[in-house]
Amino acid sequence: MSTRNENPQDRNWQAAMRKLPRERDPGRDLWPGIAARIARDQSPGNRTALLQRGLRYALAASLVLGLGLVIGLQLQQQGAGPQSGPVTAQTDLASDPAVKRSARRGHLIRAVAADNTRLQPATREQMQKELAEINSAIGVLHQALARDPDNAALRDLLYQAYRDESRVLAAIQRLETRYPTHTTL
Amino acid sequence: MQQANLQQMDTADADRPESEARLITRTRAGDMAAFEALYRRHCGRIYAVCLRLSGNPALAEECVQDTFVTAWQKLAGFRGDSAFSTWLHRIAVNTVLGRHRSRMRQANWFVDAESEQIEAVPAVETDEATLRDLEEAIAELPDGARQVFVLFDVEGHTHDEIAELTGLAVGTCKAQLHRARKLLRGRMQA
Repeated sequence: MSTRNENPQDRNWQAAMRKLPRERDPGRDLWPGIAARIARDQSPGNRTALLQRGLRYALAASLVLGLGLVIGLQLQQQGAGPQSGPVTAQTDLASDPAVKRSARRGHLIRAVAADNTRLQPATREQMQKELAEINSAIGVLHQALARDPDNAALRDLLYQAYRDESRVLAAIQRLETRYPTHTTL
Repeated sequence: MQQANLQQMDTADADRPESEARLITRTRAGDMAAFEALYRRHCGRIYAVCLRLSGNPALAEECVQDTFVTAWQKLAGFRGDSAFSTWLHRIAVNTVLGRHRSRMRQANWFVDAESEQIEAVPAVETDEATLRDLEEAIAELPDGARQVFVLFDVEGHTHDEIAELTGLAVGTCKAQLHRARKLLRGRMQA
């Protein structure tokens, strides 16, 4: 099997070639372009429809949070006092990713699905819808990762989806704790 | 005195480069700052390879960017069986060759010289000016000959490895190497 030439003159030639500098300066910083491409490649707009869905779910979750904040502010202006809700959970779900698989998470999701919360019906319906969409996204992302386990962008989206779910659950808990059933939209 | 020592220790800690393994771990977790540190460490080497293989500074810059974007995407699959630099080098070579393959015409690569012997070449002076001329001469080689030459004579790959990387037959690699050396010799003696 032919590999490298052992001729002394060739060795001399190859030795000369290896005196060429091992490193060269590109002359300009290429990092900004690399960072921009990584960011762009990770954005759903340039990935598959699956990834586009992931972004939509993240956006939907953000909207839910915004809606929750608006409701909260309105109710606060109406003078509603804090009360204990029927469902209790950790204070800050979003701060601990591990909570996503905890029994508390399941308990909260079941409570929302079974209407066993003190949320106002329209709010509860909206939360149920958003949670269902996020849960669907999580399922799709798990399936995609099963096919492409090394895909860092998919893993990132899955993590974001869990974070979004945690934020929605935390918002539900906060709303029903502070503003019980008698509140109106 | 004690404060001075502490300051000295702080400075020493700050100056100590973070281990590559730790940077890789951080990058896998999505830390772009860690990946930028890896880029800073390796970009000169990768650019040199891309430049010599492509013979074109603008194309080499694009290939460097492609290489690091690919590395980011595939880092989860890097098992550490080889050094990170070796893994990155292979991505760079594949990137340049892949770009070349996408636009090459078979006629440019085909050298009907399976039976040609690789010709011995005279010793080369290695002063700075000669090396600079050599860089220029390498850049002017035909694509196929330059790539085999750089991979064999500069990067130290074997013909078998080059055949695997380029998809050429080993005999064709040898012929391209012969062609490159012949052209370079003519250029350097001119």
